[in-house]
Amino acid sequence: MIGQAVLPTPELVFEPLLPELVLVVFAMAGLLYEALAKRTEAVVHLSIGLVGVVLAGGTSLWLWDWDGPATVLGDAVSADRFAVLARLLLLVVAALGLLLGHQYFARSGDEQRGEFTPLLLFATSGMTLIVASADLILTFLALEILSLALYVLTGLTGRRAANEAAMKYFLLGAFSSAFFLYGVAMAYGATGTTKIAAMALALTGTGEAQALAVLGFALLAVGFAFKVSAAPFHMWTPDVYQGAPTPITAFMSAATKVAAFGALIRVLDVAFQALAWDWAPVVWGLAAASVVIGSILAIAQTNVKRMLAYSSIAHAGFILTGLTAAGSAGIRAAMFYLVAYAAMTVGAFGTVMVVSGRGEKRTRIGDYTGLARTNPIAAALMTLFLLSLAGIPPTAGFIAKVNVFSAAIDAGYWVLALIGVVTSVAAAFFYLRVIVLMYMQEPEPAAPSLTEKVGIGAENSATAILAIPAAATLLLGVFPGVIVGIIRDASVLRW
Amino acid sequence: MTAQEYAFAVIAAVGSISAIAVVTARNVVHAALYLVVALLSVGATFLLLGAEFAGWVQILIYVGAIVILFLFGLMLTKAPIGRDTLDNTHRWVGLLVAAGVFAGLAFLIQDAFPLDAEPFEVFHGSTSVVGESMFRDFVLPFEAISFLLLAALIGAIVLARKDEGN
Amino acid sequence: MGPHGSLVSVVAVGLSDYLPILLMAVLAIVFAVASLGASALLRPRRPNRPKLSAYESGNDPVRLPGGERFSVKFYVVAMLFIIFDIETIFLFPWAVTFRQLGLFGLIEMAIFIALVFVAYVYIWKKGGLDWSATPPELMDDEDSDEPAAAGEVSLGAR
Repeated sequence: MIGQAVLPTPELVFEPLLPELVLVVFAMAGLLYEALAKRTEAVVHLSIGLVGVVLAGGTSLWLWDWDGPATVLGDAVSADRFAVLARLLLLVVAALGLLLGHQYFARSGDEQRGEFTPLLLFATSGMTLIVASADLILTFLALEILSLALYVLTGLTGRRAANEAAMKYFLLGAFSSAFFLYGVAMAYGATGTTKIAAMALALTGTGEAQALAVLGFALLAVGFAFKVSAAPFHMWTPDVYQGAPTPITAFMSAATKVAAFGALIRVLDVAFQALAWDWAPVVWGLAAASVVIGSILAIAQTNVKRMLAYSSIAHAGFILTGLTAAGSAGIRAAMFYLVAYAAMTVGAFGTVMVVSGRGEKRTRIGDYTGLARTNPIAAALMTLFLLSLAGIPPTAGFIAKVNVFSAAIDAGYWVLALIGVVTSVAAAFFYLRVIVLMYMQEPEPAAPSLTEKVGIGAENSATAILAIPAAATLLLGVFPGVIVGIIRDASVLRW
Repeated sequence: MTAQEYAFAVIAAVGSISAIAVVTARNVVHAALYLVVALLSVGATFLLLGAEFAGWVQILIYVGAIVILFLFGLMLTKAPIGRDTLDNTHRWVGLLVAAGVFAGLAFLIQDAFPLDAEPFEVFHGSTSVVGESMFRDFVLPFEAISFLLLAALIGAIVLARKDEGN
Repeated sequence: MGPHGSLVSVVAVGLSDYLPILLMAVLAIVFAVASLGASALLRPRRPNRPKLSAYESGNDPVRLPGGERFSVKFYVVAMLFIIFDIETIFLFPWAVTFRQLGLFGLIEMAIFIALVFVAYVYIWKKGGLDWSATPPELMDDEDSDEPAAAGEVSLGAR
């Protein structure tokens, strides 16, 4: 081997990866601060996290006008506007998660967990990487990075419920990762590549049935369905969303969906676009199962976090409904839904965090009885988010639902749209039940008012954070046009 | 049959039998030891296929580390180590699913790569070939692995701490 | 040769290196089976209790009292071992090709190592590598006064 010529250096264009690099650097900084500082301050952790997220957002924005190659770094990373928009959404959710988590740990009486910020940045970097990934190997690695960070975040407080949730999430998540990896192997066997663009080329024009590719897609779909918590791979969701600390539930319910759907869209609409007739029924079935199971089981819940978890399963189904339409029509509907869903789910779980108080004692639906008297602001916020989740105008949820249903109908899947409409009406019941409890009933005499419990300052700053998702939910509901143009530009995948 | 095919027959038989023994063993430690044999035969199959690096990684990581962690796990938990502790009522469902998956995969793979097809150009996966590919074509995934390992390490430490919340 | 002739001959190029290893393995198995078999046939058979007990380096073999577990420190060490083991695996292909890869490969590997080094610093500072003293963050549940609390280690599956 000695004396062999040095091979030429591969061409490296790393600008499209800048957001992830920034996040990784700041995650390292937070980790080293936690390890090396004698006494760590929660405010320093929060600042490290927020500065990292804002800088990553800035570099993402700069990439909006990127006119270099479509894929860089050995065709591993896509540089398109779809990736930029998904990243920005993820980073906003991450910032909200950091702020809510800071409030939560400051008041919960738990020991300040210095690992919260670095782990959340780890998860975010995995998520922003996965929406830009153009190579299934990298998609898998990003999926593992975000999953590992989320398992640990779930068990961060060390409470019994949190530990149990983390354990369940880990076991089932590892199982689904195995499916995903097997799917990558099968897709590689069928096409001889793991690059998404090359895979699309290899599958185009092959007239005969591609049994192996279809099997690969099916296994990949299992992995994705688990991550977006689509039925019948949703079993972990209620336990994990209930057991995890509420700000972390808020973060992961929104961000994991955005990330996994971002990656799924690239797999559906680029890698397997030639097999659209084969994957459409799979997406159809997942969507129908999710809306029905999520909506029906939510009715029976007595815990708010659990109810919102089932609602999140139903919303995964609505997004999948939009994705039955191949190409940019489906992407537009799904992207709008993801933006709206991120705003309303972060808001809803954030309000749950405000109401639940120290040690998450007040998370039963009964605890919301008469909330309008004891905490009118939290009740108003909760009402807004629940109306949006139910899809009632003039909220973002309504426009989002109209978009996905019309995309499905245009693609010829009107039965699925009909199922979606019927289950939406049924689902409105359990959202409205909470609103009725909050406004129409007197509080239980024993229930202490919230302000006594956590102090006015903590409550006000947590509520101030929730103004952001609340504003987004209303704005997107009343003036959806502000974002339609952006989403249209972002709905074209470059490859 | 050639020498390679004989070798494959022997390795496949040993691997399948020990894999079945893993799930039927009554003693969980025995199951772990059968797993060593099963994983060794997978490694040997990789070697037979010319995937030298993958074969040795399989042996070093899985046999050398993962199974050891299994045994550690058995000692760390209160799980009883002994006879008759591994039975569970879902075993027939599991058998059915396993048989179904096997039949499906066997059909699909022989459908995709029929015996009378053109033989493949076999890629000899020696360590240097793997190295060139990994460090030139897969630069980013390689660095992502490092980040993944970092996340795993932090996670292991954070979760191993005493639970103070209760 | 049949239709697979070309397939097998290509594979065989890489495999001939393994012939000595195969011979060695066969020899080892034959020797072990032969010597154990021979001793089983030839030895006198007079068992007593000390002879039948398991050999534990001269210590009395003791069974852990029911339900008692090993310290979680073992788990941390095992986890660290696996992760650094995986990291080491990636050094092999790099070491074999680093002359062809040149400076580029060196930088790649430096970044790779640097990332894991950050984790190493973190673990060190958090006491993950301390064995004797009770580390600040990692608990030693063997000496715990409360048996109930000792059962609550995060990864202790129930």
